[in-house]
Amino acid sequence: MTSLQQVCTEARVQWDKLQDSEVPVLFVGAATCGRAAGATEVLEALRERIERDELNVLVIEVGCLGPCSFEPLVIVHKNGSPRICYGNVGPDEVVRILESHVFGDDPCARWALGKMTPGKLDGIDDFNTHPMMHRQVRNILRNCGLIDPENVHHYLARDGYRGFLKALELGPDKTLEEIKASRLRGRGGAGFPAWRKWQFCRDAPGPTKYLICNADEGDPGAFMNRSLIEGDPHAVLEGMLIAAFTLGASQGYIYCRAEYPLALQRLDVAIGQMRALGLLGRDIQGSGFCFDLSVKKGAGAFVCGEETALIASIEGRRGMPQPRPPFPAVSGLLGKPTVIQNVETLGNLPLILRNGAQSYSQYGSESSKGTKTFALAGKIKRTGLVEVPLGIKLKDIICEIGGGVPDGKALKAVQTGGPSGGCIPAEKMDLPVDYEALTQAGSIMGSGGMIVLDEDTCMVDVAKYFLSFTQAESCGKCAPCRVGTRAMLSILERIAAGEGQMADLEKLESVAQTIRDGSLCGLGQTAPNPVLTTLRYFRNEYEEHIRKGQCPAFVCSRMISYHIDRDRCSGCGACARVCPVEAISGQKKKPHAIDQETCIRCGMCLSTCPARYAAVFRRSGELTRVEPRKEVKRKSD
Amino acid sequence: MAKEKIPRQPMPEQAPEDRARNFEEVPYGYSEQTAILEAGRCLKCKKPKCVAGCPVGIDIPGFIALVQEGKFIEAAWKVKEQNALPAVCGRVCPQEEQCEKLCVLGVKGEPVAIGRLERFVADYERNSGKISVPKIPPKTGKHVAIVGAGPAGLTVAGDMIKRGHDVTVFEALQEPGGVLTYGIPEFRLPKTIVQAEVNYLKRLGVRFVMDFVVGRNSTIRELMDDEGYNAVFIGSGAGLPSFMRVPGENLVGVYSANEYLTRSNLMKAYLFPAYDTPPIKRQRVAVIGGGNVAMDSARTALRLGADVTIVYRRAREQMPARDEEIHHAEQEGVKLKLLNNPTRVIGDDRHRVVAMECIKMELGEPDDSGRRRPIPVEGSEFIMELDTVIVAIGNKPNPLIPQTMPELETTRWGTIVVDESTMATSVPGVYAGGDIVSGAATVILAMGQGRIAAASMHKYLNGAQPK
Amino acid sequence: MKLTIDGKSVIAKEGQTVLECALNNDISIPHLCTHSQLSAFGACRLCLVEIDGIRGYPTSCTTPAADAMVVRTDTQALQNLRRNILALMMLEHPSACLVCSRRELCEQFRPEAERTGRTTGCHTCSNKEICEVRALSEELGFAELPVPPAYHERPVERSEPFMDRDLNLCILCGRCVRICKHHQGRAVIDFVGRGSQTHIGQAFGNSLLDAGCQFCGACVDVCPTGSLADRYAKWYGRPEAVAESTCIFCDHACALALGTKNGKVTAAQAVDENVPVCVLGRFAVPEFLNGTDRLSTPHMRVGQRLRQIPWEQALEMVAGKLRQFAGDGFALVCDTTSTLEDRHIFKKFTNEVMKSTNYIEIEPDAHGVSRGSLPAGTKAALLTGNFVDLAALKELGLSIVQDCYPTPVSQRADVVLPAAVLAEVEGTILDRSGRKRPLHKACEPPGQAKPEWWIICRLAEAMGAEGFEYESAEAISKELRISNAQLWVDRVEAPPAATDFKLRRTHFRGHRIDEKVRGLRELPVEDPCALEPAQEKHEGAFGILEKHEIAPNVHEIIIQAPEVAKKALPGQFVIAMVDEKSERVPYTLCGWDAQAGTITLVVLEKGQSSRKLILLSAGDKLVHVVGPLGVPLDIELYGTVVLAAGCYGIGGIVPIVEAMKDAGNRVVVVTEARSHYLHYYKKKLQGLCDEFVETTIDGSVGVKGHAIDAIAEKLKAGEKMDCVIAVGCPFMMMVTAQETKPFGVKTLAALNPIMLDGTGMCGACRVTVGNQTKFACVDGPFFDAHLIDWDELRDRRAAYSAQEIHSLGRTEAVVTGHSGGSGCKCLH
Repeated sequence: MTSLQQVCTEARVQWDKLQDSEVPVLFVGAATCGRAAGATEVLEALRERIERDELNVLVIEVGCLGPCSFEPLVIVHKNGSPRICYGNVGPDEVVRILESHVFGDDPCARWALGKMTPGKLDGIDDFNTHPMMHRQVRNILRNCGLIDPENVHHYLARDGYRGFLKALELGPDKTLEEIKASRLRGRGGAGFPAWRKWQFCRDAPGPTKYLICNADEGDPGAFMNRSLIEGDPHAVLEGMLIAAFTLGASQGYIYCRAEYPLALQRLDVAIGQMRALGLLGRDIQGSGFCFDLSVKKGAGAFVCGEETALIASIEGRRGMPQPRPPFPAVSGLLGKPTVIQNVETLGNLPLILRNGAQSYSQYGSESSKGTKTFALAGKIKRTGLVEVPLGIKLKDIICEIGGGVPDGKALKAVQTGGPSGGCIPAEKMDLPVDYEALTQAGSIMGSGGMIVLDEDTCMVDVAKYFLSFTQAESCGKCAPCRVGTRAMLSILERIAAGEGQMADLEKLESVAQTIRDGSLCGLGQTAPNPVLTTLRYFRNEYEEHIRKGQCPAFVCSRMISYHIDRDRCSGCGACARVCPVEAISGQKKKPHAIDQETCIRCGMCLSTCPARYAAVFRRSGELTRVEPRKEVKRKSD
Repeated sequence: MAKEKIPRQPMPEQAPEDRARNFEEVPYGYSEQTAILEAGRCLKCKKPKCVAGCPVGIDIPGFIALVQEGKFIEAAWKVKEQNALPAVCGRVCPQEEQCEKLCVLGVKGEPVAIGRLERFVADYERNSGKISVPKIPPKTGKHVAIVGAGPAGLTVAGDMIKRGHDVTVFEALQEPGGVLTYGIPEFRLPKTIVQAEVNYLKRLGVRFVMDFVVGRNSTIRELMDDEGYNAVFIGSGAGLPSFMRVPGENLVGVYSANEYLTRSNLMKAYLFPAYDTPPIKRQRVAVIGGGNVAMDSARTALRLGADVTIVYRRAREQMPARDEEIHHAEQEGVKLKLLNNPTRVIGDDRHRVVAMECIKMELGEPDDSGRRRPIPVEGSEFIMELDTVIVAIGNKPNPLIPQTMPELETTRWGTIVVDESTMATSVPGVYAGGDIVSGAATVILAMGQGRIAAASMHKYLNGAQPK
Repeated sequence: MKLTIDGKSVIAKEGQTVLECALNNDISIPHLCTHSQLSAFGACRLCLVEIDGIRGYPTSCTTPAADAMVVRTDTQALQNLRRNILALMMLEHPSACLVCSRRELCEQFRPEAERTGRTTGCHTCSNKEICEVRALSEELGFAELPVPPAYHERPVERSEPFMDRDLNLCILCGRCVRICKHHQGRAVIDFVGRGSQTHIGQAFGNSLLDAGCQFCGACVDVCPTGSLADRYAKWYGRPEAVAESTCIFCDHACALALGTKNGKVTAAQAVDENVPVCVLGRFAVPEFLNGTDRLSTPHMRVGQRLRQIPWEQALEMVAGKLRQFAGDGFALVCDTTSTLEDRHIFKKFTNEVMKSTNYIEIEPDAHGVSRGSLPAGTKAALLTGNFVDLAALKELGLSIVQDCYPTPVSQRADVVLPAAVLAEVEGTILDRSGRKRPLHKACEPPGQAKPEWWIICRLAEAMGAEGFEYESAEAISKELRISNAQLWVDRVEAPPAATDFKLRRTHFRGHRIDEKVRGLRELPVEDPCALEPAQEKHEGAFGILEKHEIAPNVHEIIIQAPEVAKKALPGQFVIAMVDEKSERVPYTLCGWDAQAGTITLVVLEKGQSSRKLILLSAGDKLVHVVGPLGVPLDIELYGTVVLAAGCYGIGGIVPIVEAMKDAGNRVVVVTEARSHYLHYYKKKLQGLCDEFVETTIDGSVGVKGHAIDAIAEKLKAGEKMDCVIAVGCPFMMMVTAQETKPFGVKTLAALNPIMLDGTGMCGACRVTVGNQTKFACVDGPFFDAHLIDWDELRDRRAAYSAQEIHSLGRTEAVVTGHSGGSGCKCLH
């Protein structure tokens, strides 16, 4: 124990030194999201310049700070100046910042998102007052983007592993009490109280127990878990230690999808560091507690997020859910009592132990305590990873943090909970974000995906999208899910093709009912949700598709057609040049026309037509329904 | 030893109890010694009567003399001067009704076994591999089409190619030979022999077109007008089976002899499942009819393991089959139920034959055919339990060609009308022979008609302008 | 434990599931994926129940029974839910027959399934009589599909020995996967793919052989649908009876359940489903017993040849000859696969009748090979199998072979006596542990083959010996004091060959088993002289230019046949032979191009010949195609002509539609199929006719029902029809005829009975039309449908079905010429 404390003390010194570093430090957000936005190029440019000019500058790769729409993000520490966070930093910009701010006097306010430490700087506000940040409460994500995730000292310096030490101090029973008092609910989706699962597991007979961290984040558009692991892996691992200690588990697994290479690398490094610090293995910190950890790579099957399928996958079997009971907490991995917790749930544990249950449950609503991370995506100005107290209104997240819908379009709905969730219409934006309220609205909290849909979104198309996802990701074991989703999808496709009948809506509901009641696992039971919520809130849109053959959002290509207004067309030929199938013809300077037989409804003409003419328009309705052409003659042919 | 003292040499054959269970040829044929011995019996008459009995006019004393000298190959060539298919004729000709009937030796004792000797020389030549290919005269440029690769057609083909004409034989089935292939069973005429005869014709230059149905693929008119054939010989046979016109005749288990034999012979159903065509393997079989075809059917059924009865409405003496065939059949275990005629066939709920009702007959006054007319004995009906009925009461000519050639004159029985001296039909350049002319008759008769037709076609072609 | 199920108080044992408890108490709960031998899986979702205190509908197969549980198994909600779940399952399983309104009539008209390549309905399914899905659908009252069925278009997998896999029938109950794991301890087969692509297969697309399959056949036995089929047994359908006997291919002597039909063993399975048998026991027995070259009659040498002789003569003759060889000059050789009774008689005969000490009993080696030699000075020998070298015969004055199959030795023997073996005899054998196991007679031996004790006893009697008056094996066993051995004892462990087929025996009585059982040739074995499968190649003249599977089991084949194409007219047909051994089979001409010299056929795989044809691919040739045959249809101006077509007939009507249209008729085309995915040529026909109506039996597209239902609707509505022409299977044409008759509409049907020559010569194609006999080949194919005797036609067409089945029953993999019938859609 002393040795760990010693290390902590050293870490603190190191950290403080970094905070007051004489040498300028550039923290570059280089998590997967940052890299996707160009962080790698930024780093290259930066290092090249440093090497060329033999500059004395420190560069640290950090995880994601959250505001993904501003990636790549660079935080600049310059002694004597407040730290500044810059957004949308490309290779050119980073060099300019180096030249102008680090080695000059211009803080480059035009790229700055905010100050991160006190001090005054003209034209740069506090980062915390940035509209994307000021409603957020960053507890779980407190280290993300600020520390070097591969440097355990950074974590230790910021009270790392204190929660675990606290747990050791309390002993398992009291730790469980503490978790119970915090009223932490599982962050994987269903919101089952964490302590109850643990209690079951503890009560189950047998000395061997397992703990599994579910990092098989598979919802389209969700990246909360990945960000947390990439930005602060020890937070999750510390959580695992706490949980394992409480359960009496001797072996833990992290089931992480192979599509997350960076996260896997971070885990590898971190586990090595834990071992070196005596945080894994026999008699951890002299407490008598023995625990080891290994990482299992998943092949990216969505269904493997389901507990029993995940266990099957770890055991080397096909990831197929099994009926419960027996619940994994009683008979799980290799038939032993097993607790499976989501990454974020585990990430909460150090906080609870460190700060106490009281402090934790100050956030959140009556039934849903604490903070929750969400991945904001879709038709929203500021996409990114956010953390808010539960119970916050939906509109606060969408409109304030996210900045609402871009381009002056109207908000139509928010899809929460991924493929198992549903669409909450714009008029319900006052809904508090907690487990019960979302379920009542027909959706679910899920793991935290939030996709914003604007007026250009066709709800039939959205339902089709999510259903085709679950359909393709069904494990195939039970017919309600495997075939039912296929049946519903075929009805949706019929409706989208303008061949629907009103009776199809009842059929959709009836098949949905069969899937819900009849499916084996959660994936199947919730698969109809996107359809059912869109049917519930946007039934008129379905009816318009069926009755009028119209897609009001101009999405369903079988129902729309593009035309050129002869009076407005100047014959510039811009549209004809971009048409991929040569459907547009016309003489120069004469009005052009679109051949409906050839047109594939890609919309290129509409977006290309110069605004000054705005000659291309689209129509939807029965008159324009056109049979799809099997063979498309493309320009390259 | 005086010639008349040498007895007619028997031909060794499989024992009846053996052969009744296999499809191998029944007689083994003469050995060289036996053949010379038998040839020695010939009196070499100055005016040989036997030749007159031969529909194709083989120089019988001539070839027998060569056999006696041990010149078997030369003897075979001698036969082949007149007969394109000696190995076939030696086996299936009713010699007892033809050449041998007229043999002087036969008046007092037994005639010379001309048929067996013919068979011997033909087999000898084939087995020796020294098959003579006669010199073919220069091509005349005339094209002859022959419809049907049966005995008549093959004869005409041989004769015409030897006269320098181009010959094409059109055959509807997949193999040439006509009745020799689909009708006469392996144990009576091995198919290798037919194949050898056909190969011989091919070597002479005859072109065979299989799977070609004249009347469907081309009419005769088209062959002549469009395809450039100068003359056509119709030898399409009597390919339409007659049925008894009694109730129950379409039940499962009632077969025409044609079908029954074709399955076995052409389609090799007895080798099923190595061959795909399933055989008709049943327990109790009745064959209706008294001709050679009835005997062939009965003996085939026997070999497929059945208990076989021949039901014939007249008496044994009236049976049109060769004595030898009846004798063979009886020897092998075929039962004869003479003076009986079926009145109906009885089936079960799945239309399968379970029994046949027959009525007894007695013979009355001779009818048109000269045979005594069978008259049913009233109230004498009785039931035979059986599962298969094979109807072998004759064939009618196939109507396909007359149907597609209205100008061709036919009789009311559907046979083609010809001038018997030339075998010319009512259409110039078109000749016919075999069963399509004479109704169901014998192989050698068909061949004889073929020979006549060939001769007159040759004359016709020499007079006509090539197209 | 006490619980309440449907208001009934019942007792459950510890560890029992709710389902087990219910079934034990005669409370039936529908279930499908559950199998007595397998752990609960919970996949089919049919055994759902309601349990107080448990949310939703738990599966009774996975829920442990608990004290004081209150269970409801049959509420309205459950019934609806089960029916809806089954309906979903049926979307991916050919199900039109289950909702067909003419099911009863169909089953009367064709009670036996017509087995085909890809199964597209009950009526063509090899599992028709034993299908659990069908039984459940009847029980649950399933009558409607929520959406059109989603057929998978998967090719039938038949490249493996012994079994065919048609995954289009699979409902993914997982029984096969589980039993395989259960028996083999690992996953040879497993679920592959995700979502609707999920299917049963081997990892990485390996063959079963490469995946380590041992061909124990357990997967086939547990499959509730027809998707896994025993390639040999499937053609025979459900056995008439099941008899238990013992496998004697090796001395593990497994108990076998033998399915028999028409006096033949058609299938063999393990008696205890929990204990698998090896590939020999499971798959080799029927084909070995039913081999076409089995010795079936006594033969005697006459000169160079063996000739058949009756038993009495054979026995008399052998007896006479044997008398001369009494003493040690005689030897009898057998091996221990003969029954104890037989061997007792052999020994007794040798010692007492022949006064010889040379009774030689060979113990087969590990491969089952029994080789022996005759003692020096042997003058006469009786061999009960292929045990000695040919050379040994040279020294003998008399050689008698008593065996089941011919061998080089039997070919040279003086006498050959046909012996009954395996499941053809009664008797007792010893297994390797020395336990007695009974053989029971399950089927008749071929021809006149006889049990071996019978042969030797009768021979002894013919020689005047006494003490051989046994009339049954039982009489001998009594003398031997063999108690009535029990079949069902001691079957606890599987033979080693069940988990490693390489350990199987290769020989039985000196015969190579794989010579008789062709499927075995594909399984490697430690055997240097493995047989090469003979490949037959034929050359033909009629080349296939194109071939597509245009709908499941419907193949469009374009063949080079200029002579046919030149003269073809609407309504005519051709006769084709794939190779020189093929049958002559008629096929309707569905199109031709005189200029290109090609014809188009639409062919359904139904029997041996059509299978041969559809297994060819473009570039292959047929040996014979003759045609056009038949009387062309009278094309004249009728007014309104209605063409009703089903299956291959949809292709068959194309030329008729064109011609009728050219003649000025208004042409209405009504096509029928069981389901939407079976329709083809839609665009083509739409472009040709005036009105196009599609019907499906399951209502998935167009009018629900048969073609006649659409036609009758029109007739009832007063539409004028001058002629209805039906082209399709006899059932479809019969139904059409039946229902147009009251309206007095002239109706023609195109008949395609069995025929040989197609030119009127054979008369096989006789049909009764208006009490007159007609030949379909020269008078037809078109006849007045109201006058046809349909029942007779049906029965005449079925005349050879038994033999046909015999020729189709093979165990070896079928070599597929085409790239798998994944169903080309280009012509839809």
